[in-house]
Amino acid sequence: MRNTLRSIICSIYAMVFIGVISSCEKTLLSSDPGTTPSEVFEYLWDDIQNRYAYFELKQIDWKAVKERYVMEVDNNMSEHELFDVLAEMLFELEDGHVNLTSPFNRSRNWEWQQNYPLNYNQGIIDRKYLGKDFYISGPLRHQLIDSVLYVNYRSFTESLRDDDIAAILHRAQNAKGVIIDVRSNGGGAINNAFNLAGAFTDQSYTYGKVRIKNGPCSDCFSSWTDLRVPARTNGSYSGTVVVLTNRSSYSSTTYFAEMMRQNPRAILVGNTTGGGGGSPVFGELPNGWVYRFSSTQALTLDDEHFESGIPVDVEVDLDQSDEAGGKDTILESALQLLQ
Amino acid sequence: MHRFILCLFIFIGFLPEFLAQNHSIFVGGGLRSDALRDEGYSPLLFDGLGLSALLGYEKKSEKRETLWLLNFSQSRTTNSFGRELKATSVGLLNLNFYPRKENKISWGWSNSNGLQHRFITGFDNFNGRTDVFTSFGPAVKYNLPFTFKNQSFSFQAVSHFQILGFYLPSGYTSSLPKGFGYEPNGALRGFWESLYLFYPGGAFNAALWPKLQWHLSSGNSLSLNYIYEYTRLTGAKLHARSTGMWLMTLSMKLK
Repeated sequence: MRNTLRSIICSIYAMVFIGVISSCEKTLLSSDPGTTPSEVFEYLWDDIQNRYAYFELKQIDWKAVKERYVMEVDNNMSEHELFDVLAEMLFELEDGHVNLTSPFNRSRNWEWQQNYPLNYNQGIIDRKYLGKDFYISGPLRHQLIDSVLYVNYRSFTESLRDDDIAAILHRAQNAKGVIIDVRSNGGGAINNAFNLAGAFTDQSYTYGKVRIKNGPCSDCFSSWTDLRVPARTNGSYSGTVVVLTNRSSYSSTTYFAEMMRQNPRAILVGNTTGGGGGSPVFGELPNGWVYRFSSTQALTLDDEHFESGIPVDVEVDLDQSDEAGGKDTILESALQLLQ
Repeated sequence: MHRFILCLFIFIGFLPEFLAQNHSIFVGGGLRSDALRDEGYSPLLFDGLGLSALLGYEKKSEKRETLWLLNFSQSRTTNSFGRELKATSVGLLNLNFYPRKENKISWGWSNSNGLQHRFITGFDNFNGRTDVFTSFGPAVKYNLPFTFKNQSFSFQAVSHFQILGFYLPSGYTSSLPKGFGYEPNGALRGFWESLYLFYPGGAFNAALWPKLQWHLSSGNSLSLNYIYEYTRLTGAKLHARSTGMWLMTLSMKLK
């Protein structure tokens, strides 16, 4: 009897003990780091130092950048003031894939496009070239202009289905050529880019190579891995394709431009793309703000960085008098090439 | 036909051993409380609740007790700023004890295998991170049977501590282990290049599993379990996880 009682008491004690520790999962991990401006600044600077991919290409001395900005941080500053200091520090990376997002603002560096002429006028495209009876296939808007199929793709963030590609290939069957207009397309999902590029080749091909930061040292990168365009399995277009780009063609659109540049059937017209060759990785600061930055490098087959933009075969700007007259000089050049 | 005969011989060969043992399976489910930190995403701690399901098989003979435990869990965690991280895990635990009649404590060894996947919301790239580990270490079991109002109960506490093994964590930046994705490797070389040694100081996995068991007259039993598990993998980026699960299980005797 005494043993039974002892067993029951032991069991009850044990379960009560368990009940107490079962609410302590959180306390058994170390607590969150501090959120003073200095601690937040140090955390951000460190992570960029360890994982950013383009210090060497851009010849940025990140330690010198720290010395400049750390002087501006003090623990009594407001969160808006801290945000401004961090944003200015990140601005030095000259990278459109670098942002700092807080509940009240999002920092960015858009000089890769803002310091250049736009060379794209959506109003002219809508009124003069697409008109009223254009087709819409998913994210693609297309119209036959002088027996050339003009396809306008605004953002690679919009999903492209194979049916959408089939629709343009069907319309392109009897066309003299195809124009893919990705000017001011700021990028999105790379899958959409290589699915579209794959519709203009009957053979898969390599268009570049990529590597990722895999350690904190400056040359800690993975090996280079080939980037390939897979040929579309359900048929492709065998005629000439002209791709229109401008400085606002960025990120996945830069990749798309290079995919097409390596296609012997394609001609690039317009301006060098804006770059955006590094895949952005995200992080969170101790104060909950989110930041992102480029963590990969991509090279063309000529060993040029995608980050620097993809050059075109035919450089054309939008002529101001043409624009005033409702004409798109770059698109007109493409149409002439295909006549 | 000869395959059938071969199978029959194998079955007959193992039959005496099978008959000399007690076999039972158990199923269960319950709530879990998760706290975790993955420095590949954030220095902040995420915590929250989730659900766990358990499937087990136990084999007991006079000299040896073996337990296989398959556990599937999902939980939704948030950090102090409201960012959400979904954690999914699958674990397969094998425990082996060598009991002695006069002793309430039995010692043995364990093999712990885990796959832990995390998905953070609001990050457009590299938003999934996964770790896989397998390790071996000692295990201990304490068993205290007692009766209360003519019903048979027992209090059991099992613990294991992992010493040696290997693990494949997500990469320094990438979601995939470092030997995959951005490396032009085949599966075998990628696996080899992604391996980290699991050893005390480098990685940690241990669990404490007390349970109160009510033995029914049919030979089956009902248990209230609490499983606490701590895992720390210091791969390319630290991932630490502290989990407590409250589970009800029903154990059914096969023989």
